[in-house]
Amino acid sequence: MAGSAILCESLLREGVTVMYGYPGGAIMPFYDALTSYPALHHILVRHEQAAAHAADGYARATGKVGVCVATSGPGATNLVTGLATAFMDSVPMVAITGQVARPFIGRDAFQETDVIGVTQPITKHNFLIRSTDEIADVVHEAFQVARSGRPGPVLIDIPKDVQLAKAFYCPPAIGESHQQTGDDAVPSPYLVARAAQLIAQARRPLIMTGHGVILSNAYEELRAFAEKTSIPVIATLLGLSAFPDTHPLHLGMPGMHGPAHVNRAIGDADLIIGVGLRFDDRVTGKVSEFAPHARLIHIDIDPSEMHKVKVATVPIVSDAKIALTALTEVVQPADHSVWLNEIRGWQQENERRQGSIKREQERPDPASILSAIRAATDGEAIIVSDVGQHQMWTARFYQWTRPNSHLTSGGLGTMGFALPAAIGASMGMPGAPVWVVAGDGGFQMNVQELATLQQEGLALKVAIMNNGYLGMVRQWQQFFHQRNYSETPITGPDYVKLAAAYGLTGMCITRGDEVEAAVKRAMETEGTVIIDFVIESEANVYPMVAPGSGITSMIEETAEEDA
Amino acid sequence: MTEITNQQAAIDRTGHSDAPQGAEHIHALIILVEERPGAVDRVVGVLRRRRANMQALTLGQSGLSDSSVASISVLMSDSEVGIDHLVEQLRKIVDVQHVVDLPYQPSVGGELAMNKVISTVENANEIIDMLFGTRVLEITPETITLAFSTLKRVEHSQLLPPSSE
Repeated sequence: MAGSAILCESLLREGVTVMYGYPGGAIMPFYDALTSYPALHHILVRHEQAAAHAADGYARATGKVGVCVATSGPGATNLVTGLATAFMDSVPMVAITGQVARPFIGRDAFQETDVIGVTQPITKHNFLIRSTDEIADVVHEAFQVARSGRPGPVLIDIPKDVQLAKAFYCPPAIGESHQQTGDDAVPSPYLVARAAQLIAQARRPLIMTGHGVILSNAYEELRAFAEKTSIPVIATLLGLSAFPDTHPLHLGMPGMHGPAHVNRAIGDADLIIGVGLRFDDRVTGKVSEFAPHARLIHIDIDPSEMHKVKVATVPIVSDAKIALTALTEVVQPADHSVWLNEIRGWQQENERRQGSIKREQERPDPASILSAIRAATDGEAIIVSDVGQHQMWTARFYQWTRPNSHLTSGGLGTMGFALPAAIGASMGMPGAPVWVVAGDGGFQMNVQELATLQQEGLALKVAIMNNGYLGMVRQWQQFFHQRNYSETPITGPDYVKLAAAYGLTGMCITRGDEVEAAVKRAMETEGTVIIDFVIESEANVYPMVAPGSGITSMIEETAEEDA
Repeated sequence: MTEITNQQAAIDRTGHSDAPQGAEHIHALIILVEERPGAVDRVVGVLRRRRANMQALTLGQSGLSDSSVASISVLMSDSEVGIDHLVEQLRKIVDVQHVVDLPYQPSVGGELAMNKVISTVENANEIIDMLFGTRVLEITPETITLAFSTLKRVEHSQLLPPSSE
């Protein structure tokens, strides 16, 4: 069997049904074999970066390993942003790249790039296949590595002559792995008991949930733990939708754009139970002022996250699901209503203050766009946001109830992520409505993927929050650079005509009172619909913590600001 | 209700000694990696990314019967907390099989130097006498090559401050 066929067989064996890619010289043998494997559905993207993001979106939505394919040289280097995005957010992915034939490696051949070297710091692992009889084992190991422990992207580089050469196909035994995955690591009973002891002593405890809860599918376990102990729950950007926003214990998102009461609660807490999060700088602000009175119980599957930012009193290296189950068993039921009421008091006080600021605008309001989407989809939609102001509005104003319904590039902050990632998400979750929420800047970064949508006949709904600015950068310029709006005004195409050019439906909404009807109409329209919401050009994300400040000192919206 | 302060929390930390953060010591790390393309690169890549303050870096066969395992020895200066984090990061590399931080265990360390000294036939004996204890590797009419080595047993307590226990 030729190497290219062994590769296809190996992918099938790992349960792959869909992959995203772009052909080219060094990967042509694989594409030649692909037509004999109709069970492998290949989506032709318009740029390899989108292939990586689509595989990423597929993986985030389904929990399965996403697969993308590119040729050597420029094809492979175009994957780099997507791999880095997946690496920062711990997304299981396998990227397959063609490589020039073995005799040409290291000799500056046409379309030769040292992809193993280039992707080394942004992949969990990468493999250069040296001979055809290695293919089956390497593919199996790559999938194992990608999905085990803390997931991440893995790259397989296959020289063209290795794809062409013949070898016997020996399928590796599934489940056979010499890697220590840590998936089944049982947390030490001593540490669990110690954690329970701290929880029993705490008067002002908080649970912080991150992406780890979603990755380990621990929604029910988190809920059971929070309900038994009555501890309020905070969700980081990537932890959103791990715990329902409608739950009485739910508080909100912490950090740079978190509501003031959440950050204030962190400032006053005496115990933080962090589950599957890494205390990113956007969450902590100035670390020395983050949770200054709190002890920390840190649950994470990655031992190198322990004590990295905050020293943990009790570090529990474990899968979130296993650790939460073990903890829930030993903790005593408690009542923290005094503490919760105190936080709710701050929340109401803030909301009263915000409510007193008069907003007189004709333009669509970001919050109302998001609540209209939620209303029109009964909260069942998967929302894929891009990066910028709209991302923070989406995180804050959408009411998350469906588990794992929020997909965004958190760690790397990759503009242009949303549209291709939504392609992957909608293929992974057929039947679920998928909404892209993007700014006019980020949307234009991978706008070419509208053609992929068209070719595949996919139905996405796209809400562009169009303010004619690279809004988040403009906001920083307003706050920290004396309104010196350097290179942030940005124009865009007529999105209605653009949609029509790709055979899709487009709408342009300029008035707030048209939002609800437009969203409803988009849901009723077959196929992909792009709505260009022309919002207030200098709307800001409030509150905001200046970078490097403590999270309890926030820039809040004032009446003068919008006057 | 007793007030829990951060001070108490700091003393309570698990998995760490009381060595002050930021106090740097010399650490010798031995890293065993499976010899596959890019494996050594990844180890060095982590050291580079962390801007490790390296004093020596050697690569060799592990000396284990399994010849597919390479041994990387790194001599570097860092705080204890920094080293602990580095070790955890190194252990995450798929090809890394084992990481040892030597100061935590009694070990034998040493240095070997080879020097070539200009000499004449007349003063050759004088040089050898003067550097008693060295090993003569080679004598030519113009030069003598000598090997110097030191070997010493390094105790736990020599590299780390006495622990509080």
